[in-house]
Amino acid sequence: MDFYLACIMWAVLGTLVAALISCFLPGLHVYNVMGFVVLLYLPMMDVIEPFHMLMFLAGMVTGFGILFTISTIYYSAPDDTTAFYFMPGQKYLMDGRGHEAAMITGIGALIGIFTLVSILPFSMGFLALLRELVSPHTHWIIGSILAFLLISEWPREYGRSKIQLFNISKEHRAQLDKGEIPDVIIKGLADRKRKLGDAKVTKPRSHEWEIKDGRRTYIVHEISAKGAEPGYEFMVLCVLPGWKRIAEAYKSKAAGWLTFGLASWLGMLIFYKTIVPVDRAFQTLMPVFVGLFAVSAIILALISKVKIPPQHLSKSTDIKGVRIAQGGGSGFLSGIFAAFVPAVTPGVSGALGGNATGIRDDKVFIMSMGTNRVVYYVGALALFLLPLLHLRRGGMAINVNLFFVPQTLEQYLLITAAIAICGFIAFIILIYASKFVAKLVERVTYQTLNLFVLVLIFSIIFLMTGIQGIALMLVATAIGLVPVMWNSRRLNLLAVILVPIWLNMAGIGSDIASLLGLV
Amino acid sequence: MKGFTHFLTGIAIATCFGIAVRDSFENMSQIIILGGIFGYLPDFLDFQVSRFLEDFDYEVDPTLEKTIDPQGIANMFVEAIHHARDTGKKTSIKFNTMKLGADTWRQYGIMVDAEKKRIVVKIGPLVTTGKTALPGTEPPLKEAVGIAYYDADLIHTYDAWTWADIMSGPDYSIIPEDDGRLRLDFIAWHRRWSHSITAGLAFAPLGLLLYVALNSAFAGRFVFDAQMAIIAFMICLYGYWIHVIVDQFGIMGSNLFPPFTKQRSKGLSLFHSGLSIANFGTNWISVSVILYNLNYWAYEPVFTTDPLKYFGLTTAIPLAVLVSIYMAYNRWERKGKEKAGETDDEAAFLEKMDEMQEFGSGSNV
Repeated sequence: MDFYLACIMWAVLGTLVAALISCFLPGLHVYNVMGFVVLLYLPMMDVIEPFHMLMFLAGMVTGFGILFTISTIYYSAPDDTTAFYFMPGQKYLMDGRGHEAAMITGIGALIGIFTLVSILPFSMGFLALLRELVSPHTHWIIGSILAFLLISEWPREYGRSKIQLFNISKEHRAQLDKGEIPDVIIKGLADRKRKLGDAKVTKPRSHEWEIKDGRRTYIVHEISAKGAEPGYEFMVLCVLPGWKRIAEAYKSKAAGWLTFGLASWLGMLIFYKTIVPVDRAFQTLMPVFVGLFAVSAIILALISKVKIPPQHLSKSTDIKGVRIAQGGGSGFLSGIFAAFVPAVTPGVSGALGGNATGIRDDKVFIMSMGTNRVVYYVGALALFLLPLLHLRRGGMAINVNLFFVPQTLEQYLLITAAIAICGFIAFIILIYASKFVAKLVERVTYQTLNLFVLVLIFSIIFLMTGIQGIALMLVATAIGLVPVMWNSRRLNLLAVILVPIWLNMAGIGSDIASLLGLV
Repeated sequence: MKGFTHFLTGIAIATCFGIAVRDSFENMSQIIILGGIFGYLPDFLDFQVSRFLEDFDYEVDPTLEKTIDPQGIANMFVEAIHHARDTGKKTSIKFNTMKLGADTWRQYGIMVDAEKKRIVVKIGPLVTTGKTALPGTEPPLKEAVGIAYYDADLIHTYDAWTWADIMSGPDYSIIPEDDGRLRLDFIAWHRRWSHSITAGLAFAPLGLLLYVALNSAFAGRFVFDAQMAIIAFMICLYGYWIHVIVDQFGIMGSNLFPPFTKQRSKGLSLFHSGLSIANFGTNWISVSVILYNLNYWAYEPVFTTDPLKYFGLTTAIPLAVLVSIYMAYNRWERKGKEKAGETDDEAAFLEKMDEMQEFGSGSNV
């Protein structure tokens, strides 16, 4: 067979494998699958041409980049890159628009591939220069991202500056109007260990009286006639002091910081003292990511007992050209940033890109993440193969480097052609796969489906990393549930990879590991 | 501007300090990050601290009422307006949100119709945290609307709806003016003192302390390098000030010299702070400045250090092209439509709404 044709065939085969795994084995991360493929391939290097294997992997990574949206939207099983559009994706699914979300992601991915293929070959010199300039400063760039993650999460405030203490009946109105404090209020407060001192009653609002005793302010609130129950017409409230309001609001932010701290600790643990057996240590990150993002999301789906409504297979995504440009542009810049800077994954870069370009619309965000993750995965491969650059980032380059050293521009252009073809094929598969799975989730109970996925994930993790991997996954799951339960940012979970790499780049990783008792 | 934009401008300012850049690649110093943190600080102080310390004279809290009553809300707003009119004192009102489930909120809207001197409140549908309305959850129209008339001269030309739905709700301050009229100020606590030159001076020493503390913690002993401490102070100060300066390009402006000045001065009104292209453009400039500085302060620069050539090619030309495309698109989109007659007040209101809805700050991203 013609060499070039064979190359394309291998790439397409890779895409088909990625399609099967994405649709039927949710929860598997592309780099873990790739690790196993390379492990199986190494003894067969004489049988299969290394460049053909590279083509297979390129097809697979392109396919994953586009088709993993199926797992994320329909099976609640996101990975570290899709977890951040999982929420809007789920929203679409619950509105019966899962297919629309999948298509928007797919369009974003196609934009990513088109931009990558058309821009990168002309950027070799610029990117080489950029690497030379930025490399010595990577440590503070990652540090800056961490600092931004920590300070930029807003505390969740639901507006309460008063807490309800108890209710009383309207028969006390006359006393309040006279400026007297009814005994029932004094007793009610005493029961709650709040002793009223020399207090005064005022009526600053038509529906409320204020009782001030110098230390605290209590409010007697008249409930509207429609909402009041007989005998419980007035509500006694206590005005919270400012610091208490801050403390209340910061509960969610504290949960975010706790998540960040725990994820950092877990990251240091797996970097310095992983419990996964040595022969499978290259899969250490798999149980961690699956636990943090997929299992926690599945548990949430199981607990919430949601029902998937009938899915509407829309023929249009109803998105304006300017929004496509905004989503695609933001996604491309975010993705290439993630592919270029170590430790930065599409989750983080997508959030930064969203901030940088002022994205607010769900559709634009979903689209930008579709572009972002494809550019990240495929871009990592392209940057590795790009002449003058050969940038080694992420699992892709590490795995490929085991059997292939990039050399010529022709190789790069051939890979680029394969990526373009595979991207197109993957998008076509996505259309039909999404329609198929949309029908499937209507017929099967969502809980059953999630339970099936959970069992599948446990089996895969057990097979790949043993019982130690399961233990690691459970710890990661517990950490992954913190932001879900306390409504804080899931982005903090990415400290699992960002913090150890930042500390190591800043030259203090081993000191901190020693402080944590890990070395 | 968006938080990330301010963060990045702070980083860009920090890289202007050659000693800081060189300390970063020679000693793995993290000093440049201080610029980002202090660039973000003014918004942190407003949205993550000040807003919780604000006491409101009136609080609409539908969760206390069990049923949401639009007429009651409209009446309360009018009462607050009349309170400000009668007492001559600033009166504030907060519209709390109504959370009904893990991801469900009741939406309601408030409109100040200054022309007809009335407050209109409309109860909307249930919405998710992402503000997606749940179909079929709107109350019947006759129960959904409340209207109350006020008797005052209100300075408020923006008659669009303000929605209270997720997280924290909006608030207004009703401020009596010398001429007897009442000025309605949306989120009055924003840019009141935090976005000022004086606040920068007050907070920069804290940055210096933070720098010394972190440096000592990482070194495991007390470390104080006077030169680097001064640089850290300057980075914090300029990082903070650049936030204040960048915000002056928007509509709202800020109170620049509290306690010597009491009121917000108007911004230059060049653009909306939430405008995508303004944020993107500012970030582009910041990245250009950062790269230029990293190269300029490198012992062996990798490209030209001629600033005119560099910024012309990397910043001026690309941004000019981008802005031209943007303007052409806007003109094309508006073709055939009546030009939106946005008043200054409306624009300022929109800017505040934008800042209230920071990306990723209110959603579970």
